[in-house]
Amino acid sequence: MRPRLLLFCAAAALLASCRDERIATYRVPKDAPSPAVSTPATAGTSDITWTLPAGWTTQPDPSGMRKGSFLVSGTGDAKADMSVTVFPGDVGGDLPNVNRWRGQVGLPPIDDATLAQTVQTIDAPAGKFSFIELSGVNAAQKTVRMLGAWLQQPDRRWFFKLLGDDALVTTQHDAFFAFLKSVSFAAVPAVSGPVKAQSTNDLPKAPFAPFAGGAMPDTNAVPAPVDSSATPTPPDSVPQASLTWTAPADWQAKPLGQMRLGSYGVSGDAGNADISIIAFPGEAGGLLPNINRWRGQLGLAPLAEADLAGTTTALDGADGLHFTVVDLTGQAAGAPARMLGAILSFGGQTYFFKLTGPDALVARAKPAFLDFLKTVKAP
Amino acid sequence: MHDLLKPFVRFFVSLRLTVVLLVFSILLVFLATLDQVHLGVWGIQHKWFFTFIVVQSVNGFPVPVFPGGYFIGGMLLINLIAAHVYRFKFSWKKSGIWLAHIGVILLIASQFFTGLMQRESQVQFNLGETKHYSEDFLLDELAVIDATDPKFDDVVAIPESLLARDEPIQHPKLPFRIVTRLYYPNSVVQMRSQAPNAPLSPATMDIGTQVAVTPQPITYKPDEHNMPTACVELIGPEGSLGIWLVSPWIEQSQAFDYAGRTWQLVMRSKRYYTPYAMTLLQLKNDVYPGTDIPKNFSSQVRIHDEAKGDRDVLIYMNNPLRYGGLTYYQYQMNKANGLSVLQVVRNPSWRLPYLACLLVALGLVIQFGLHLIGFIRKRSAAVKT
Repeated sequence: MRPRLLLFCAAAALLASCRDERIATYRVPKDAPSPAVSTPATAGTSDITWTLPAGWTTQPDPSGMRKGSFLVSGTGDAKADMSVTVFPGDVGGDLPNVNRWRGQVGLPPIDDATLAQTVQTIDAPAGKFSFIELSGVNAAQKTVRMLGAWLQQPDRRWFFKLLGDDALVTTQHDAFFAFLKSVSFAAVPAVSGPVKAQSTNDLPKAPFAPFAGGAMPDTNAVPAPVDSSATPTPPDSVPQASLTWTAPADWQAKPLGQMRLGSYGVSGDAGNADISIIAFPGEAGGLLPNINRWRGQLGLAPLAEADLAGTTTALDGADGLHFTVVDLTGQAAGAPARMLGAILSFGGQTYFFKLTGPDALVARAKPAFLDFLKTVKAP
Repeated sequence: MHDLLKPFVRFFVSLRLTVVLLVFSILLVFLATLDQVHLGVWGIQHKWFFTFIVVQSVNGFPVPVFPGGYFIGGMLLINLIAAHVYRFKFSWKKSGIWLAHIGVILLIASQFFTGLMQRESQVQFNLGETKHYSEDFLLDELAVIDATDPKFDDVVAIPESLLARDEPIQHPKLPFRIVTRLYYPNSVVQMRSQAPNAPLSPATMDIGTQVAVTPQPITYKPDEHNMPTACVELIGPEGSLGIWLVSPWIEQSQAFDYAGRTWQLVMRSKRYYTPYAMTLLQLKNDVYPGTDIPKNFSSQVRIHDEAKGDRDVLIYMNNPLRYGGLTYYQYQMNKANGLSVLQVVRNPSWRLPYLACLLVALGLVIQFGLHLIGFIRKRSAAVKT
């Protein structure tokens, strides 16, 4: 009896300890894109049109994220894949994207100087496309060629990529250029509010906010993810999912890029300063790690918890919002730099307001920055 | 009985053992409640209750500090059964005690089964969206998807816990093995332009080369979710295919071609697929007239089940849907964004506690009833004499 019992206990312990450790395999229908995500995004398919070159056929979209997906077939099993994608902002700029593409054809990264020599410009009715041609050996040890082009619009960047068999792609130059020249856009609809990104690679998922004790869930219990809203020039008073603010008159609104909720620039004799507003769910690691992250950006040594109180100041804003403000001076990109940062915890998210630039300019902009913080309001 | 067995039997049937185990149970609950400050409600369940021995890390070394919930519960169960078998002899007069004890045994066993088999997850969908899976609240997985088929995805889902181990992962359905080169159980991923001074990650492929990863302390708060990041190297027979950075921060899958097939990599909340799908048709957020005080939250969903046909159901507060062995509760809602979240609970043994309580109640009623009848008989006999 007892050995059986022991065996049962051991089996139960084994079950309990490894029940989540197994690799699962299954076949499932492909995910349909979420309607909420696709509503503004599929506007892209209606606001972009093109003429398909001869020999190009439409193919299913393996990722579900493409605006256009085409297959070019050559002799034998030679194939090339053409994709059209769009992302909000500038997606990190030219260099990271070119280096990402270079990685896909097994080429090492390049620097800005080399980039300038490799990128060509193509004038087309839709605008000036940047074009690059790459050839290398991919992960499967096959020689491949890529024709890549991108078009920067004020709020988004379009990518056109033909990748496949080296010899086949070489024969597709004219077709590729003809395709780019056939691209046209319908008038971009007026942006009345933040445009939900079609797909960004850095959208955090909504944090969980379980309601406890049988209480009714808050209608805002699921905060909108940090979203790269893509308004080309955000108005001075930006309606956000949760917070609103009013930027000073001398701050110039900038494209929001991938992660910013607000993005501004301020200029002076000393140069330019950058103001960013971002948010992360929860505490985003807490006060100290974030301040130390900022200190790291200015080449300053990290602080201990005990030193925190001496380096931060509290600022009471509107609607009972409490900011923790730091003023840091150090080095960035080899030049003296100063950063004013404010951290605010609100609605299950942590907001980071940051002004970075040359010392003199930041010193001059400091009162405006602190006044700006006081304009931040809860909805 | 063999003389050697007698001390064991005496030990397992003793009432003293019962008392000691009950005291340990009380202490277990008390200490686990205190530890909740550090580990949160999820963490302590695994550390204190769903374990045989509670292990505390002292200077990095695991030290057993207390018997765990499984041990105490298991011992109580053995104690109860042993005492029952050893001491009680069945008779109709004691049938109530028998029933009550079987009820208590069932109650302990049901908790054990619940601990083993209960699973909580959520379905998060927008208006009009159809989902045929729910997602785990806590666990993440690396999905390696063979997306070559235009209609179907062949998924190999690797639990995050396997990535955390420093061991290569091999699976018969994958033409490459997966080696974890970096793993953070909680992290923040930013575009590199936002954190220019952050150290480079080992990633060589796709978006991984453009982002910066900052490790974060593990969170145990019930309203926060750890966001792991891993850099995984895929190695085929002819060598490395590259290193990809995967994290729930990167929602879009990263695609590449290998061995004549199109593959996608994505780290996401662990998914539990169901043989049916659900579409969110309508959501309602009623308030009391003239106020902003919420009165009711409800989601109207359509179940698409090939076996049973389509069916529309309304899920609202305190009125869950029980379907396919799962219970769907209205959990969260954001009407402005057309988003509804249902909590999905799988607990195959959910009926056992009810049955156990019924048995205990029935046993007590019978036992006290028999006593009462005996007492009344004696009394009436005494009155007659």
